[in-house]
Amino acid sequence: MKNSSFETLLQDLKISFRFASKNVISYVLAMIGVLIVAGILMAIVAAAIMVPVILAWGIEPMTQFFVSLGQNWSTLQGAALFGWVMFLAIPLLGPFFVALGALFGMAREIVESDGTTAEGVFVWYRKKFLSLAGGGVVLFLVCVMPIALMSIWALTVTGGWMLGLPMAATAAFAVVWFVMTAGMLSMLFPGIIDGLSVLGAVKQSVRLSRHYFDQVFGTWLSYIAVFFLLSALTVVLIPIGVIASLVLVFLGLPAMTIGLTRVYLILTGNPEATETTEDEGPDVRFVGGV
Amino acid sequence: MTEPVRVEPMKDLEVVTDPQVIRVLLEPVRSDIVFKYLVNGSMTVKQLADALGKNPGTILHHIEALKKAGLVVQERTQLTSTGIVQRYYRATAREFRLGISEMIQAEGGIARFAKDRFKSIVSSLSVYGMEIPEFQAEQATELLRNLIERENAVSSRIPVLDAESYNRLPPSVRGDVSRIMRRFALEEDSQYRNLREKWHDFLRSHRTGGIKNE
Repeated sequence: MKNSSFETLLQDLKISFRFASKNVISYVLAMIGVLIVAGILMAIVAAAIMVPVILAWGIEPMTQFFVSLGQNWSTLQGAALFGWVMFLAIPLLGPFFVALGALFGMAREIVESDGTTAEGVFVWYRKKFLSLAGGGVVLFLVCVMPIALMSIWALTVTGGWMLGLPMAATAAFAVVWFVMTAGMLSMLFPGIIDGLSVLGAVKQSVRLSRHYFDQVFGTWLSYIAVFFLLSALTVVLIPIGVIASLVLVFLGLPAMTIGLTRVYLILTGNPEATETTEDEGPDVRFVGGV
Repeated sequence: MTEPVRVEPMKDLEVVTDPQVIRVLLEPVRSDIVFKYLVNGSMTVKQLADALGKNPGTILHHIEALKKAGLVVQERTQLTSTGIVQRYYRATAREFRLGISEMIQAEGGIARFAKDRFKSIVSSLSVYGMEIPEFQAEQATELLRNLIERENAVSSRIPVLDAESYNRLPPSVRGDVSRIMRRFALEEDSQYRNLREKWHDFLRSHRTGGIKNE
């Protein structure tokens, strides 16, 4: 059950897409709903940051500040650059990380009990908000941030025009880094949904990806392949592309959450009952309570 | 390969003293999950959802809260032919008793619940012909509370010398053996005997009819 082969991966892929298509209406409604909530929250977060700043400084100095920040962006380096990207990206993207994580909650309901509802996503969104946001921040910092920093650094070094070998090297680094780190953390959201803390889920994910490398990375790479195929169709064939992009968002993404959650539940399961009892007749008690 | 998760054997009796855990158990759906079903054997989220007429997602959230409180554990995992990964959950003990002192000392609803329950028990004894007047209700509650607390303390610390064989016993035999030993341990405890005698004297003095075994 915990070993992987091409056939197993294909079977897992089929099962996840079957579950995703069976629950497609719930997923579509949930994704639309949760994106609206995430958008509203993002606006609230932005307002919570901007309104006090505007009240304290006024609109004019703040506009000048952002204009100068934009002009000096390419000269920012090291800690300053890191700080600004963190400051701007994380609070704004937080609600979307939670939205993505909440889809794993729906997946858990499907994989464990064969059913979910669109409103179920909001319960996960609310109950696991901080943990899922924390998990999203970890994913962002580990998987995306180094790529973003390296790209900015490469653009700075090449004077804003990155072509040829530097571009190829940066792109190759970005792909390998993202695939490896995101694969290693692919059990992060299922772990958080399973009740682990962010740190506990990170440890669990890394542990599982090390011990069951073929199963975890095999599953992760199979979804990357499916996404690549659907993305290619989206770009190359325009009429089919529209359908492909819808399939990618409303079927591919749910299938991935289902597939990864399923792998998590299989790998963290304990198939052998440790408590074996001697065989006996019906469960009838002779001695009454005290 | 990682080590398989070792599931602790089911305890025979657990006295819940943490007010937070008591609070978790006093929620009606959670108490049904534990007391009606999971103390008797392991069940999946789907089975619990069907039995309780609730959404599986709702049951999953309750199970998570119960797991966090240490009242429920994941026992085993089974992969079905349709691809569902069923997890079987069971209670960590066959019987749970709530710590009376901790409940009385807890804040808000729990203390009120415990006091009301005692009041109700004492007044309900009248159906057996035990007429306890209102002004002695407090005394009755105190006597009963001390007796139950001592019983819980003694019953929950009976040592099992051969845990491996104990865990292999069929549930019904294990239950019978445990009850016999609990009775024995209580009879051996002088403090319990003393408290029981006080309580029985109190009951005798308020008996207006009913049981007469002599």
